[in-house]
Amino acid sequence: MFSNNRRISLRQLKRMMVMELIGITGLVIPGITVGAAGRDGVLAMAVGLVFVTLYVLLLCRLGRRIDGEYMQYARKRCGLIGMDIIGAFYLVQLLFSGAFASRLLGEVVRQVLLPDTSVQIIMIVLLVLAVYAAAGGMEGRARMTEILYWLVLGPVIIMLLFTAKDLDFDNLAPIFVSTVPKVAAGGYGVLIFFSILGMMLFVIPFMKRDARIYRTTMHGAVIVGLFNLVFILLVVSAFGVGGTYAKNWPIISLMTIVRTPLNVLGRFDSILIVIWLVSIFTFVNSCIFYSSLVSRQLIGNEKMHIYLIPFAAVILLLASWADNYQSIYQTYMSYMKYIGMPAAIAIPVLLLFLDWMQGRRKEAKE
Amino acid sequence: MGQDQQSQKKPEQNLSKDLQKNLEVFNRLFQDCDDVIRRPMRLGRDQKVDCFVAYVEVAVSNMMLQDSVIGKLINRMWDMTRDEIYEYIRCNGLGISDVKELPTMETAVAALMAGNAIMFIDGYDKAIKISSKGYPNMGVPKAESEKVLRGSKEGFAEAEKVNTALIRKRIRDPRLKVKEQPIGQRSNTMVALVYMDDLVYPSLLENITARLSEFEIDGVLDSGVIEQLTEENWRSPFPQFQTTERPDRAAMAVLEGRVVLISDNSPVALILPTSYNSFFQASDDYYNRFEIVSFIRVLRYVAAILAMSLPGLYLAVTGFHTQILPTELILSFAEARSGVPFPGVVEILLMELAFELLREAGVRLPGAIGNTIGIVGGLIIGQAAVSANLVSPIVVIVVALTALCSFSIPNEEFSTAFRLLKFFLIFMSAWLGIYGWMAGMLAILIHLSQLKSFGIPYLMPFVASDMNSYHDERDSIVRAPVFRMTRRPIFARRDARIRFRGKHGDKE
Repeated sequence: MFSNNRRISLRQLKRMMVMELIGITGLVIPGITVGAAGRDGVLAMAVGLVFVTLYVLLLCRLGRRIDGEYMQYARKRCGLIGMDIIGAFYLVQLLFSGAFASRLLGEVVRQVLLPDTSVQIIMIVLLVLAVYAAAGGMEGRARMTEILYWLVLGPVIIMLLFTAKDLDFDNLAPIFVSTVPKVAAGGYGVLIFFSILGMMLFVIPFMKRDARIYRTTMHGAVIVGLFNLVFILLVVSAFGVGGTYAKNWPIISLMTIVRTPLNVLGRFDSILIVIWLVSIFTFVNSCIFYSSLVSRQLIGNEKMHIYLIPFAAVILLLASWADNYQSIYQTYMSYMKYIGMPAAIAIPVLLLFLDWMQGRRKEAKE
Repeated sequence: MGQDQQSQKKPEQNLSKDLQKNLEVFNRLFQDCDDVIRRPMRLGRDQKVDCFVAYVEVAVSNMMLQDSVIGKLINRMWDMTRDEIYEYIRCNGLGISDVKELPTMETAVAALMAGNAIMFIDGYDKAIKISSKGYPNMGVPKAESEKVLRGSKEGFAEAEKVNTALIRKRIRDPRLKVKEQPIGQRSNTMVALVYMDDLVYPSLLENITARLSEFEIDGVLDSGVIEQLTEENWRSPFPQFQTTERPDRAAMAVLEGRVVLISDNSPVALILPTSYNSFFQASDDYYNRFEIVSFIRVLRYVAAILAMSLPGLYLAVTGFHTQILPTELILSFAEARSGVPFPGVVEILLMELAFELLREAGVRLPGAIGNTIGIVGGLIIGQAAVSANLVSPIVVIVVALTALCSFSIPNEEFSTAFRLLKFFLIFMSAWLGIYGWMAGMLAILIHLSQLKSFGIPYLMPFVASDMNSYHDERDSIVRAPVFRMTRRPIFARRDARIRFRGKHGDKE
């Protein structure tokens, strides 16, 4: 009958990717790109998309060689210790990313919606939900995301339409004034926040063996990229370069100027923000889920559920260590810039290289 | 005591040719059963063939016996020898469909308990079952809880045979199968699985049959007991079986490749598997035009969300995020709430609990008094509470609207889930405003996305709809015209999905 094979479809994969990326990238990327390249933030976003495309191509190339679980493949190429090191890297990256996203959500909610509530309470609620969702496995998460997809994107698109008419597009000019290194730096910042695409390698056992996985991944990344392009255009038009850079989350500020036709509602940024935050929830959920998946693939224990709560606790602790959001943001960016992202690129390259070397040795023996 | 004795299945006891031995066993079993009538008689030319007829009083009428086939047979047998009687029963009486041989005492007792008459004959090692109308029941009533403006008004009766016949009346196809089995160690309640042999997944049938065999229970007095014992996720407030009192609804489900479970003594049939969308479909959705049905379906979906979330949303907006409302509305709410001594959450809880009490009282009280309670409670108590400044008028409106929304959900069991979850959302909203409201809604969505009914994701067709080429979406929030619903839903076998073809080309 309807099979219980825990597999997901391409449509579900794409929707999951878009949902996981759009919330966090939309909040952070406008500030990063405009901060790096000023009015050429749009160019930086375009360059970032190119970097993302290259990264996805790299992942696709490696993914085609993986038959089964990624960690088992890594073990065949690098041995047990190599596999443990790679697994540990991914674990750290996922937990750190989850902690950053949780703190980000907590801060947004505290500043905009619940000024009298502690950030920890907000994060605990988020993490409890994330653990509950992760416990449903890949299938449950995929179904949830399928439903949330238009519930989140619909209001985002409506918001974009409502804000577009009130903006000053003169703020966008002039362009091509930034230097190439600055634009590239902005692009690199974009790539950092798309790094969760690397989890595609862990998703392979949940998909039917289909070359369209990679096209689907690219498609999802492009959709998110295009949305971010529009976000950057809108925030720079609304607030100018200086105003955009001065704000933690320019897109949140953009939501406060949205007005409904006929004044049916007053300010409905609260509703928009809470819908937006659902996307960040899916990101945190994916961090917890993939952390458990990595652990399961490392240890070989079929029961993923036993890791969910401990990892959620670790994320909460990591997210709570600093008094303010800026400290966590700076620490996370530094880690990702100098360790996280370089390793996320180097590991697939290394594995591909080892795969090629072992292939050549095999050919030579034959 | 009961568990071990019940678990051990006693070997079946073959009937003896000696009538006295059979009677000894019978009388021992039915000692102190004064409602079991025993009629000894003598048959045959010289009145030398003893026989014995037994039946449950009222289940079998005396007239029935005399006018029945076996009654006529008995009359014929007055002039026969012993051997002629045995031969006559074997060759003639058994040719009639409502007379059957029973080889063991257990089958004879089961037949008697099912409302039939049984006959033991001296020198014959089988009992004869004489079918009868069975126990008294209400006949075919109107469907009370699933009212429709257009379509059949028949509802299921309380007899399993009548109910299977009502479905058979609508699907006159030999591929419609009715598989019966008794459930309940003491009640031996007959349960029937009704399905289309060429549409249903065999694994689904095996699954439900296996689940029915996984428990032993004293008695099953309603299909609700079976539902609770066989559902996969008992913690969920959402039902994993669809229930219906309507034969046409059940027949529709069978034609979709689903299985209908009918239990004796219960006017409610269970349909499996089910999905979230199934609970929003009423029978007359398919008898009316697609435009009005689509409008009503959208209304139902919106009503379902409001039934669960409106009080919580009200609390979140008025308690935490008043900037969402236009200024005039905020001022109006503030004026309405002036003088109310309780916080908003207490107001809402008071009124919601009062409404739940009224609803329960209205259900339990008979006839006219039950109707009066609605008027008394709604108008007088609500008005009195507002006049006494216990609650604000806005809260009364919110609670009333919530109640109306919950009543527009076609399925009562399904709407109870929303009634319960409403309180969860009230607490979340009172605690964390709109963030808490959203967290509560997310928790419910997560639960639904993990829920399955016999392997079918509960949120079909809103998830995984590509499994049936997106055809299931044609009968979801909106309903496509009948000629566009060419495929059966995902419940039917993959090779049997086409259900409509135009004879003169497709209508577009």
